[in-house]
Amino acid sequence: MGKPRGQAVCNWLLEMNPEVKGSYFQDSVKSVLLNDSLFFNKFSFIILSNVDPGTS
Amino acid sequence: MLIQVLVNYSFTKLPTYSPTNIYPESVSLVASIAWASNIPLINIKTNGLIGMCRLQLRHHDIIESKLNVDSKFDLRVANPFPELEEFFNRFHFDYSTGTVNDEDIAHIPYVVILYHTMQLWKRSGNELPLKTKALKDNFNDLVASWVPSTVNISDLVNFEEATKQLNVLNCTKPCGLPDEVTELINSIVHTPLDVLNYTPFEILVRSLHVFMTTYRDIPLIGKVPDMHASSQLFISLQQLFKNKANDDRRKFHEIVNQQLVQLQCDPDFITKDDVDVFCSNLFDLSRLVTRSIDDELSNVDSNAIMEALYDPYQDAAQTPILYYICLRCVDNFRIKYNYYPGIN
Repeated sequence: MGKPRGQAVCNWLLEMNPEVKGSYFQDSVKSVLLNDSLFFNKFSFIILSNVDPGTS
Repeated sequence: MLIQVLVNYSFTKLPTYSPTNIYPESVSLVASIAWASNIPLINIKTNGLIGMCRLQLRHHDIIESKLNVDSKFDLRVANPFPELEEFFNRFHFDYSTGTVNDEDIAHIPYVVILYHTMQLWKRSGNELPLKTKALKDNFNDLVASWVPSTVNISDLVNFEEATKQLNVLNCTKPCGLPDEVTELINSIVHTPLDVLNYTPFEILVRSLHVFMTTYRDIPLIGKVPDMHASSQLFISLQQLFKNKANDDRRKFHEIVNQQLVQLQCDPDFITKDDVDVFCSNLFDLSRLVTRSIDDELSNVDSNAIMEALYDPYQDAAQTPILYYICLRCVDNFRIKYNYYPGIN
């Protein structure tokens, strides 16, 4: 494999349905939010998969 | 459709940083952002073959739900609008003799039969709704009593239909809305509208409340179920319902537009199609709500957990609550000790 998980998963997802467009990032949630605090607000749906619980 | 995949950058892969310098990823962090903006979020945890899938959503409003195949019809038999009452009175049901003098008795729609039987029932001092089986049986005897002795009642499909549709008469007061829908309307109407962030659903529900207060009933839904009747009569009945429904929807749409004007909102925020779909599904309006993940993590609902623990599966070890507790413990361990249990 050798590729980042996000890249591999993204490619598979895009293969499933040609109408779907997408991209991946490899970064931490905190750092993404430091760059753009409204990063998550532009999505209509969010799925978290085995994300660290972190502190509340 | 656009998707984006964000992969966690796990700090365990950075040997030069000590864990305390990097904030761990946080379900709570993303979940609280999603909660604030009412973005649906699914949190998945897996551990080998065991997993958990949690939907977090402040509220999800449902207008059209295909689930309810057995939907009630809004027939207004017990409280007919003027045009419907006039239709009912075209038939020759003689209350003094208790007979129906109609040549085409076999093709009278059952709603007509129910209406006239109801009138006779009330004149004899009885009441609606029909609460007991005994009352229903008595009512059905009255339905049968209209048929002259020269006619064999078992041939009359419409009379049989009437006896099976007595629940139609249970809408004795205006607004035959299910309790859940009435509660939903009240909860939306009594919550101040967020003028920066309102949805068409909220405006439609508020408009419905105004309509109900003004006209003392819901907009007629307009759909008529199949029934045994002559084509001509059935079509007349359908047309009658359609006209009244259209008229009510027009009035309802006026109320909606008034609300939009007051909010200085674009009139296309709610289109005529939106109004039509809403008015066709008044009995099935609902709102799905979930608890926030933050609330779930901070506040223990001991009662719910105890109930689940005392209601084990047949194979007790398979009871889901046990796995939920384990997965929560894994997370708590992680938070407290900075590593997952079982890792060296």
